[in-house]
Amino acid sequence: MSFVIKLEDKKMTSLKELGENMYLYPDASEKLLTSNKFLRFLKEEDKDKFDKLIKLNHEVREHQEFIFLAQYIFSPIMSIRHHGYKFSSFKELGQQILDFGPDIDVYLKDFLKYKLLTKYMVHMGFDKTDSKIYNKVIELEKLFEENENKAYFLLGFILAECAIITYGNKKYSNVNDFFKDMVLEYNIASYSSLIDTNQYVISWLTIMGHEEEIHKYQSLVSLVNSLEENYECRTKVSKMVK
Amino acid sequence: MRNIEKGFLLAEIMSFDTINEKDVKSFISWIRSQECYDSLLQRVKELKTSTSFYARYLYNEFISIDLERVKTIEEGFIAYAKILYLHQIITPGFYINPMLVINKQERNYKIGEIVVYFNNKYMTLNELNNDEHYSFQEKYEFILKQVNKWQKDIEEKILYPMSKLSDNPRNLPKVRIIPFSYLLTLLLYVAMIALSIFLPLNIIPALKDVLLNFNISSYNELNYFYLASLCVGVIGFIILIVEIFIRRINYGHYFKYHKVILGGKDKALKVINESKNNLEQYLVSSFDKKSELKAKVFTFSKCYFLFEYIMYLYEINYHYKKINKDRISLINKILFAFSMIFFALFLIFALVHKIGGLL
Repeated sequence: MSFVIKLEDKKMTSLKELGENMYLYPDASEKLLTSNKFLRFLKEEDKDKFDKLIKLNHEVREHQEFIFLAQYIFSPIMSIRHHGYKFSSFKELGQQILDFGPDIDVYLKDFLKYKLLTKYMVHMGFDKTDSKIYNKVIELEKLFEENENKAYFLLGFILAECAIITYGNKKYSNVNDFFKDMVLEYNIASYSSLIDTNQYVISWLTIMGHEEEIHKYQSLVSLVNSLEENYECRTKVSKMVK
Repeated sequence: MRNIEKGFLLAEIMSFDTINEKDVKSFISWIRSQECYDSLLQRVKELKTSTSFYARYLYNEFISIDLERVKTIEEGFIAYAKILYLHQIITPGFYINPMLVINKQERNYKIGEIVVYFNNKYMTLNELNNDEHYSFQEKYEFILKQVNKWQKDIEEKILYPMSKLSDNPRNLPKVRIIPFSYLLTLLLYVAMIALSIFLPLNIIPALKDVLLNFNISSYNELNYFYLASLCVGVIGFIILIVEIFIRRINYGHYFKYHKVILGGKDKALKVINESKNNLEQYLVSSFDKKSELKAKVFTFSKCYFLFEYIMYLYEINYHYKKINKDRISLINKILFAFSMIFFALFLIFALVHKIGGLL
């Protein structure tokens, strides 16, 4: 039976083609996959895929995760694709994360947030063939629960197998050179505001093997922050009492 | 904390030579401009007036923060953290010793507001009292230890100096309100003034005119010296009386305090033990009944006066060498010397005139 599936302006004539293109039209894909018309069609066309899709719909709550996993139901052997991005290797994914740095792409964050990367690796068998990277990504998923941004940038550095940081269109592979530039007047304010919230620099320093120095920095800053909070709290209370 | 200092800190930790002196100085200026620093300085002013051992410890911690010596951003962070921490704990509740409250501002503090360190936490005695996580037995043992600490502080401040002073009473000067030399000076002044009045009336009648008519153009050297010795003598006498009065105010307590401190160690021990027992009983019964600790700290400071006496005696001892050399004492000595010289010259001239048949 021939059919045409339409996602926005894209017409597809096979379920495989649908799977291959869903990442380009995530919102339209979600509408399609949850429509009764499509589900009735799919039940008739391919009962197995229909059952898998229904099961997935029950198991997964998040829309991003649903679309990502659903595309592999329709096209099981496929590169990493998500929300407009297509990566032929893990290295490419890592490099994309770093190329955006220090900015963070929320859709690339989904790989850790919804554990899409490990699910993909399990689906493709990379958990056994590439167990080193798989285990590292598992660790990063755990880290993501405590520190999202650090886990995100570490993923970039680990997958890209790279220890070069890009800042202000300049690449740095040496810590001294990087900081010499960062303390200059035109950089200091923007670089300083990044450190704690963004974690881009911290992640790079972690990859460079400076955990001890990072721990020293974070201990001092955390100490001062908690003392300041305490001071502000007491000042507020004493003003209220007065 | 500004982000910029965090940026400098990380850069400094990772690559020491990236930071220059100007950045460190800017950070220090920022610290000095903070409200917490200003507020800490105010609290330290009050802290200095307290006598407790913990107050001394906290003061030493404060003076160890030397912002002038900060050379790196990391040192600046540590100093700033110390400032914030000390600001948190330098409140009278932290350092008051309820058995020895000298400072008038501390006297109205309530026992329940005193902060203690229990089970690795700082809390007030009221908070400890209300804390259900600890048994009465644990709190009771803690109270005994704490009161013992306060008592040891008092022993160090009162009993130990009392022993030292009693063992060597010669270390304390003998300060008299009217020393023997002053008494002699007074007698000489009285004698001189009496003679100055007696002589014109009975022996040198010509001097009567000097007293009654101030016709300076007709005076001879005899008259000048007579008038000079009389005037200087009267002024000197008055100023000496004033000095004695001042000494009475300044050193009037000396003998009483001297007697109490040198002879009163047993009594002091009794007062200290009584304060300790009262405080312990009050704390234990309040904890037992879980009632708020509302009593003022001064209620248990029965021996504070001993500390004040000791400080007074130390002060006298310290200033002893100056006592007889202060300004008014010097003025008196000068006036006495001049009055005696003028009187002596008057007597010489009187003798000369008498021999010469002029009188």
